[in-house]
This record gives sequence, C-alpha cells and structure tokens, in this order.
Amino acid sequence: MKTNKFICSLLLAASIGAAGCSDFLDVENNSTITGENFYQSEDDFMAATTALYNKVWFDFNDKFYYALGDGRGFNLYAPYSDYIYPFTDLTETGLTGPLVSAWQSLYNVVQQSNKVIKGIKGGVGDDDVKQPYIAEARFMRGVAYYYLAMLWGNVIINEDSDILVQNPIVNTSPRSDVFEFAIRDMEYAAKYLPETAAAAGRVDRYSAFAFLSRFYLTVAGYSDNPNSGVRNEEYLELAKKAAKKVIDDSDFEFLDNYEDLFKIENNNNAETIFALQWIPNGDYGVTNTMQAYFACGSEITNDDASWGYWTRAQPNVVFEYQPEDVRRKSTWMAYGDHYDEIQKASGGYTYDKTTDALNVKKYVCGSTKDNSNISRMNCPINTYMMRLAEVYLIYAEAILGNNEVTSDEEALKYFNKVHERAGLEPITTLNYEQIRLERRLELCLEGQYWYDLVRRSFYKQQEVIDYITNQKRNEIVPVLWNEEEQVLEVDDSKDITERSIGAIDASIFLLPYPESEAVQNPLLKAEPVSYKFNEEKITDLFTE
Amino acid sequence: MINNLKLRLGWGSVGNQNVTDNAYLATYSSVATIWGTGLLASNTPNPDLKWETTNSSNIGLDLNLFDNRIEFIADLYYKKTNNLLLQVPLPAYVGTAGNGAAASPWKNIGSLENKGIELTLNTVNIDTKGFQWRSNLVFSLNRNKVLSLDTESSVIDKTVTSGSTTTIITRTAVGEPIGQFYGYKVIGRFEKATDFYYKDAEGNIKATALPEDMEIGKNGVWIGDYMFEDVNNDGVINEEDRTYIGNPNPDFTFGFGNSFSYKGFDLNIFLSGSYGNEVVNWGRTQLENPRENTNLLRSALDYAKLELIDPNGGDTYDNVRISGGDPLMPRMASSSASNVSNYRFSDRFVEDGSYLRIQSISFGYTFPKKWMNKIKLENLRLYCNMQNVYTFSKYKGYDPEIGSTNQDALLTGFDNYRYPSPRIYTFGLNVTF
Repeated sequence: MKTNKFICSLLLAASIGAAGCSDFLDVENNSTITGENFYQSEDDFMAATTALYNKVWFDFNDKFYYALGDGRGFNLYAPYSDYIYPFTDLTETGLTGPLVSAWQSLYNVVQQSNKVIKGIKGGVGDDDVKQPYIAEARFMRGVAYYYLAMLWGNVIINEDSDILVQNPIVNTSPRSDVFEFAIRDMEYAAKYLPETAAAAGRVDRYSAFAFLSRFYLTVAGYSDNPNSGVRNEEYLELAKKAAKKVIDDSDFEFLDNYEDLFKIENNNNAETIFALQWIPNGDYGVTNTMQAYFACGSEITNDDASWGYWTRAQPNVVFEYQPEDVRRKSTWMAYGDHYDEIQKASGGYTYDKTTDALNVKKYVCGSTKDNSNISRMNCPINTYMMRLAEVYLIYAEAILGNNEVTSDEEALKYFNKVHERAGLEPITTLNYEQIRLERRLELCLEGQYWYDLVRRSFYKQQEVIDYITNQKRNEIVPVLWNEEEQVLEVDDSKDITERSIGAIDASIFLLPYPESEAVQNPLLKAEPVSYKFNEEKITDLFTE
Repeated sequence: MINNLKLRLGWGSVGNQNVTDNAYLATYSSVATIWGTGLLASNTPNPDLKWETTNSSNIGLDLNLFDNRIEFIADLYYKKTNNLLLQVPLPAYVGTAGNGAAASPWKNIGSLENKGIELTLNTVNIDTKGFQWRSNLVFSLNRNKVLSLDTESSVIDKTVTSGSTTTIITRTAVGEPIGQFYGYKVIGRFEKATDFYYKDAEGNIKATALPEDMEIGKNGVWIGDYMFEDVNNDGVINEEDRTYIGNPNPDFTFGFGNSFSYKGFDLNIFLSGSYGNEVVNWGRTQLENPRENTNLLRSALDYAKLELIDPNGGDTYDNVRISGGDPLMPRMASSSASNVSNYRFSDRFVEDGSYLRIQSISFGYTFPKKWMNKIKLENLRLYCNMQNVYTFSKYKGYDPEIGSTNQDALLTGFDNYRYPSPRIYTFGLNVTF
C-alpha cells in the first residue's frame, strides 16, 4: 500500500515534469481574433475595411459635424448648447469638447486605416486582391486628413501608428503637405477602388473622384498669399475633370425630390457618394445621435432624448431662402410646417412651437413608432459626407474658376439641376455669390458651410473676414415667421440683444490644437517639417 | 522587563503581470455594420511585454515590554519596482482615445521606488478590576519617486474628459512622485486697471501675461478674471505654463484605535487620518461656476460682482471695480472664452485633503452568563455600530478619502463627483441558543 502510494505520486510528479514548464504555462488564444489569425483571406480584408464606416467617425458625427460645419458657419443658433456656441461665437479653445473629440475621431480614422493598410499589405493574397481594400482604407484616411488640413492646418502626418507609439513626440507637417497627402490617398483610391462597390453604401472609385474634385478645388486657392485673389488653373482643371468623371461615368444619380434625401428608408440612395453608415438599434458608438440634439420636443422622438428646442436656425441663413425654395422645409421646421413621416399614427406632425424661431428638421425623422429602426438617441439615417449635388456645384465652380461670371452651358446646366430641384427658376449667368448661396442652402446642416468659407479664405481672406463681420454674430435679432408669405421677418417690436463673441481676424480660420495634445507634444506648435512622401504620385488618372 | 525583542531583516522579489489579456498580441473587436460584422483593431500590441518586478527589503523591530502591555513594531522598507507595467497614456493622434480607438499599449514603462516607515504601538493602558483600556496606534509614511521612464518625453500625462472638456490632470515625471496634479497657478485676480501692467526689475512697464488669443476686454480678460502665473515668462498664458500644483500622496497616514471594556460593556473607537495630501475637487469646476446650467453650489453666488467706478463713465476697464463677492472667485463672464479661462484646471480646485475621521464607534453589552442560564440562552449581546461617524477636514467636497479613480494610480486624489462614503448605523441583538 505504502509503496503504491509512493509510486503513484512519483508518476504524477514525472508526468507534470514531462509536460514541461513552457508548454504547461503557454495558453493558446483560441477565443478571439488576433493578429496571428487575421488578414488571411479576402473576407478578412473586407471585414477590416467594413469597420471604417461608422464607429471611428462616431465622435466626429456626434456633435462636431454640425457644430463646426453649421455652427461656425453661422447656420445654427444654439445659445445654450456649449457644444455649438463656442464655435459660432468664435470663442473655442483647446479645451472645447467637440473640438477635442473631433481631433480624436479623425485620428482614429487615420490610425485604424493605417492598421488596416499595414495588415492587408502583410496579409495573405495577391496584390490585385489587396489593392481595392487598401484603396478603401486610404479613401477614409484621405477624407480624415482633408478635414485635419482644413481645420488645423499643420498636423502630424503618420502612416504607421506602431512607429508613433514608440515615439509620439514628432513634428507636424505643413498644411500644403497635409493636403497633398490627402490628395495622394484619394488618387490611389480613385485608381484602385472598384468600378462598382461590392455593396450599396460602400465607396467606389467614383466616390474617390468626387472627393478629389473637392480637394482639388480647395487646393486650387491655397497658396502663401491668403489674399492672392486667384486660384491655380491647373488644380481648377483637375477639379473640373474629376467632377466630370463622376458625372459622366459613375452610377450615381441625382434624385428628383430633395425631401427624399433625408428619409431613413432612402439610406444609400443613388445620390450618396459617401455617407457614414449607422446601425438601427445598434450599440452606442455605431449610432447616429444627431436627432437627439436636434429634435425640438419629446413629441417627435417619443422619449426624453430631444434636446434641440434651443438649437435653431440662425436668422442669417433663413433670410437667404426664397419663399418657394423647397429645401427650407426639409432643413428647418417653421410654424405651420407639416411632416407626414413624423407622428404617422396621428396623421403627421405640424410644427407649432413658436413663430419666433425655426427648429431643425434635417436628420430628424421621428420616433420608433414612425420607424422601428429608430430608438432612443439613435436615428439611423446615414450622415452625408458628400452627395452628387455637391459634385455638380463643384463642377460649376471649377468652370467659373477665376472668372467673375460665366455663362458656360455646362456650368449652368449642372448648377441649374440643383437650383431647379429646389423649386427655383433657372439662372442664365453664374457668379461666385450664387455658388456660395447655393452651396449654403443645398448643403445646410450637412456640415459644409464653414469649410466653404475656409476654402474661399485661402485666396480671398479679407473678403471672408468682412463677410463674417457683416454677419453680426454679436447681435441676436428678434424675428417672426410669416407663415403666409413663407418668409422670416425682423420683429421690430423687440430689441436686438448683444452676445459676446471673439475677435474676427485671420486667426479664426484655424482651430487651436487640443490643449492636452500640445502639452504632451510641445512640437505640435513648433515649425512644421515637410513630409517625405515615400511613393510615386499617381499621374495617369485622367489619361485612361 | 523585556518580554520579546526581535530584529527582522527581509528581502523579497515579487512579480506582477497585471495587464489585460493578450496585451502582446493584436486583438480585434467586432463592429456592427449594415454589411455584417466588421473588425476593428482594439489594441496596440506590445510583443516585448515583460514581468514587472518589485524587489523589496525591510528591516523591522518587534519589542514587547512590561508583561506585554506595550507592544511596539517598527518597519523600515525600501521597494524598487522595475519594468513597471502601465497602459501608457498617449496623445490622441496615435489613435488611442474615443470611440473606435485602439487601446494604448501596455508597456514596461520604467522604474519606481517606494520607501517608508510603518510603526505600530499596541498598549494595554489600564487593566484593573475588570476595567480594561487598550490602544492601537498605527503610523505609516511612504515616499515614492519615479526613477526612470521609458518614454521619449520622460513624462506621462493623464487626461480626463468630463462633460465637454478634455484636460490634463496629472503629470508623472522622473525624479518626482507619481501622479502629481499638473495645471495652472492662479496668482491673483485683476482687481483694478493697473493690474494689467507691472514694472519689471529695470523699471520698465510691461503688460501682465494674458491667456493666449485673449485681449483686455469684456469678452476677453476683464476686471474680476484670474491672473495666472506665467511660468515660462513668455508673456502669454498657454499650456506651457502648466506646472505642478499639488501632490496627492500624503505626508503620512495614521490610525488610532481604543477599546474599553468593563464587565459586560465594551466600547471601541477607531480614528483614522491622513495628513499633507492634496485633492482635486473637480466638481467645483462646474458646480461653482455660475454660468453652468446645472444645479450649483451656493458658493456659486459669490462670484466677483463688478460695478462702474464712475457711474456716468464708460464701460472701460479703468472704470470698473469689484464691488462684492468672494475675494477668491472670478467674475461671471458672458463670453465663453473668459469663462473657460477662469475655470481651467488650476490650483483653485486643489484643496488640502488632510483629514481625521472617526471611522467607527461600536458599543455593546453582553449579558452575564448566569442570567442567561435561567432563560436557557447561550449568549445574549446588544450592540450598536456607527461607521464613518464624523470627519474633521478643511476639504470642501463631501469626502476627502478619495483613493484612485478607476484604480488608476495616476489619478489618485482626483474627486470627480465621487460618491461619498455613507454613514452607517447598525443596531443589533446577538442571540445564541
């Protein structure tokens, strides 16, 4: 008995010993997807690029998209929403929340794209299988860098976060290089993305051409002299060619009805060039929270998440609509407006909150009773990053180029498509002021107007400063909606009140770096260092 | 006289691998999309990850005197941690912050030392005629210092996002204790027009440093706004003027327990405390800011009130003075830039976190055995307990005993609306049959 016990324990000890220390302690990871078992097939590549359409953009979309594009562009009046008014009042600082989260979000897009590109490059497969997916990730990175260049100017360009992790204290690159970087990403995307995307809502090469037309048009005005007054003809030509390619060769189609663009059931309609893809009933992070900040009352969302009563139209933009412009009603709710798609059960919703102001309509779609895809703080209408109407306007603007006015048939044709859809009479000559106005109204609340002003400020800075000064952002003008005439009128019976705003000078065209970033990297504010591009520029995009 | 005398010497080495699983591997998390599941990198792998090792040595003395009525225990220790494991805070442009970010890598970041003294004194003060009084006094003192950091900048900054603001709270740097508060220093308030200027050593009149991109004016810097210390003397207040404004580590902590018993009665009182540590009362940045549209502390009403010196004069900065309010509070600014500037993270929100707390009082009575036998009970005890009875502290928040936010050592003593410890009363009856 005793000996048996002894032998048993000896055997046990031996078997443990034989298993070996290292084998015994090393546990294989079989439960999660890791770098060791990912990027093994085209399916993996697709799963990786698929993830770049929502979550990484969430913090950008949540507030900054409209707070900057429309808040700073002076389309929104939100005197009590600290995520909007610092931008409108030109008093934002490196601590302003949405500014910090937009910076984070745009760099999340950059770094996640970098990881995808690196992963695919090192993955299993032929180059021609890999290229379209690399192109898709570079598309995203290009869009993010375009925003970074427009907003902060000199920023850090990085293609591999693993290197940055080792040493994050690096210099910025000059704005011109950041634009060039964004353009090269987009040119790669235009070359290697498929003719037709694998699924509706994914970008194809014409999406890239569309963004290129915006980038080229922007860069055309950029030089050392912000008051040069002229745009670079070469880039204007490129913008024109890129836009034309989208118009002629792509599958994108101009919708007949402006109102249809802003319904959930029309997500990824034919006019969509690139939109952020939100998930019905998804987890926080893949949801579109915009409606919660816009909806003017709980009767719309059917829950408490309707914080938009004081997020309203700036009279400055409402004054610009003609009474017959159908876009006004799709963008802003005015007294007496009726919407069939909201409160369907009771025959639609009629806005009768006030005649003193207009509330937000665009991106407001109703409650879960109206559409089961809607839930609290999630109205999964896709966020437009670009649609065909803008390409038409870019095309017209590129043709106008450095001329004061044009009556070019092509320019007028596409400009009028947008103009007439809005219910307006076609025009016969075209100048910049008409383009400015058309872009403002067509793309109102689609986070574009501030960038339009910045684009102009690259070559006519003083004009834009004067324009913004004349907006009189420091005055709150009492207004009354005239329902019969469908116009907004100044209410003379009340006094204009004052609002404190920041100084209007050249510095407003650049945002401050987030303070925490500047502390962690003092080089952020140092002189930028030019970027060394490590690949050849694609030159055959328009010669095919 | 001496019942026990012991000298102890100890040395040990302890490993720590307290990191998230698979920190050395690239991991992916699934993201819902309309085309099925997408995969997003969820971390930044570090294949070179190693154990953290702490070597500690200590020398101790145990001494019992006078029939064990006095027991004294003393320890002196030195601990050195090498390959300190930390999830490195990185700038957001590395793609490590917010939704869709890949988490910062875990790294062996450097080395750290802790040294200190721990003293314990247990005494039996009185033990006569059934009356006993015992005391227990514990004193501990610890100093920590970062010896090396394996980051390019040799500092680690910890940011906090609260509401619509993201700001740096602590900095950890070589040669300093970990997690010190890092912000602006308020050196005063603009009380009168002449405060906007000062004379330097040569007698030249110079403008007082103003926050970056702000000018003298109602919407910029005005009478009643804070004056911040221009640490680098470049004439503007910006992030380069942040400096160490407080240390969350206490000079020492202590505990003092007393127990009394007489016949069936027993009374225990335990006090604990901490001295010399600083605490960030983060809630005040919002609750004391009269411009916030949340509930406010009553002290928010004490903002600096302004009035015109010459009521018929203009609204210019040389004709404005402070007419009331707390001498330390800024004005209520209508411009958000001025407001953000006054309520930036400064030493205004760093408070003395020293405290003495009556941690617990318990009082009980055990009925005599002979009575119990009559009613056929083994034991009957009546007692009441009070936890967290009272705290003596200058701290303005609810509870100075903060600890670390999310167990993050770099965010110690940061009171971000921490739920205060409750006061608990317990009355009880113990019956054993």
